[in-house]
Parts: sequence; structure tokens; C-alpha cells
Amino acid sequence: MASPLEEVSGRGLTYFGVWEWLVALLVLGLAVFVLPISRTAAALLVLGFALVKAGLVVRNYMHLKREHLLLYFLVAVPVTLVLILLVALVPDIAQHH
Amino acid sequence: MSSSVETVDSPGLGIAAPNAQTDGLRAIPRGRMGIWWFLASEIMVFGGLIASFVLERAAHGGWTAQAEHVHWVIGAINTLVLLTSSLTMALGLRAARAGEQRRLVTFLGLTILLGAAFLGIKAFEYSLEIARGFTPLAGLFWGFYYTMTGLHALHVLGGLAVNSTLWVLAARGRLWPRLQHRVEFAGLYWHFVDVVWIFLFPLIYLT
Repeated sequence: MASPLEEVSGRGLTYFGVWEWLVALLVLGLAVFVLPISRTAAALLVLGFALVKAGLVVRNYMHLKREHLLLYFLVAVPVTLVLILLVALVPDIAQHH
Repeated sequence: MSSSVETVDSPGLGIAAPNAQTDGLRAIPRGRMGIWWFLASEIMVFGGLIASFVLERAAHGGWTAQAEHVHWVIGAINTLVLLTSSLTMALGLRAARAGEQRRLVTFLGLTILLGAAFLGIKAFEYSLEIARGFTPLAGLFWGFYYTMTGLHALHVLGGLAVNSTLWVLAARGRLWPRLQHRVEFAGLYWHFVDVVWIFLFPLIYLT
């Protein structure tokens, strides 16, 4: 029976190790707002941490890193469409406001 | 107690692990392919909402003042709860693959409890905000807030229903071979719900 607390000797992250990274990034994301940096910079940093956290979950807990390339496309297509939507609407928002 | 060290890279046991380098397209089980298609459509749903939120927020500078009334500490606690539930779900899948029924029941039970805690905390947070007059009609920000977090909470509720069904089946020891696959698919959905919250939390509570 494998323990969730088992340590790994340099061969990869355990599920518990991934969780530790997720919690550390959460704490870091909260801590950036006490740093003497602009609010915009802090927001970008926090969103960057969110991207890393999402990547950790998708790759390790959802095991996407061991999946077929087709599943990467399945994820990439809607993400790309959302980004296109975002970019395409920027001029409209800028014009009205 | 197994002496082998099991990592995320080598969860092994039970269901054949996919190998992107050696397996063809047909190696992807239909169920797994189906759930990923479903999740892709969910990306469009939440992605569209998040894109709208970002654009509207960029257009309305006054939102910053409204956003300062959200309870970021409660949001952070809920984030920790959901991240932990992803860990227990992943451990539940590993137990299912190893054929360890008791551990599967334990980890699925923990996932259900953490999901219920998330919803309970969210309901408490809603009650605090509504008591202060921040209803869905209090402004565009609050409309987005309740729509995005409410839709997410509905997804958590759906995941709870699926996980509870699997928990009952696992506790009774029924449908064991198929149950492993079902735990995997339920886990993919649960982790996706976690990923959505990972983006909602900083967007709504921190930025």
C-alpha cells in the first residue's frame, strides 16, 4: 500500500508533492499584494501563479502529460477560441468606453 | 505496505496508462475521450464568461471599488479546500487502480466532505454579502460575481452527486472493474472544476 506522504528520490512529484506546490503558490499569490509593487504588476503575478497551478493540476492530477497528443488539441482548441474571442472584442470595448 | 515509490509519473496498477509515444489514437479509451470532449465544451462555457468579465472589468474602472467588498480570506480558504479535494480525488483514483477498496472509500469520502465544505463556506459567504446589500442586482460586478461563482458551485454540486454515487458503489463493493474507470472520469471532471476555481479566485477576489 502506497502512502500519500511517501517521498520520492528525485524521480518526480508525488501527488502530495503537487499539493504542496499548489498551496505554496496560493500563499505566494496572496503575499504579492504586500510587496511594494504596483497593483497591475501584482495582478499579473497572481494570474501567472494561477496559470502554473492550473498546469500542475492538469498535467499531474488529470495526467495530461501522459496522454495522447490529440487530447492536448482537445484542450488547446477551446482555449485558443476563448483567446480569439477576448482579442476580437477588445476594439469594440475600447471604442465604446 | 508496498515498498515501491509511486509518483505522479508512475501511478501504474490496473488501468493501462496511456503512452503518447507508443500508443496510437485508438489507445485512448472511448470514455476518457468522451469526458475530455465534455471538458473542452466546458472550457468554452467558463472561458466565455471569464473573457466577458475581463473585458467588462477593463471597460469599467469603478469595479475596483466594488471588488474590494468581497471576502478574499474566505475565498482563499475555499481555494485551499478545493485544492485539497483534488489531492484526495487523485489518491482515490490511485487506490481504485490498486484495487484498494477501503482506501478508495476513504479518499472518495474525504473528497465529498471537502466539496460539501466548499459549498457550505460559499453559502456562508453569499449570506454575508447579501446581508450587506450586495445582491446580484447591486451592480455589474456583483452580477458577474454571482453568475460565475454560482455556475461553478452548480458544477461542484454535480461533482458531489457523481462522487457520492461512486462512494456508495465502492462501499458496497459493486461494479468493481468498471468502477475504476468511473472514478477516473469523475476525477477528471472534479479536477477541471478545481482548475476553473484556480482562475476565478484571483480574478474575482485578488485583482
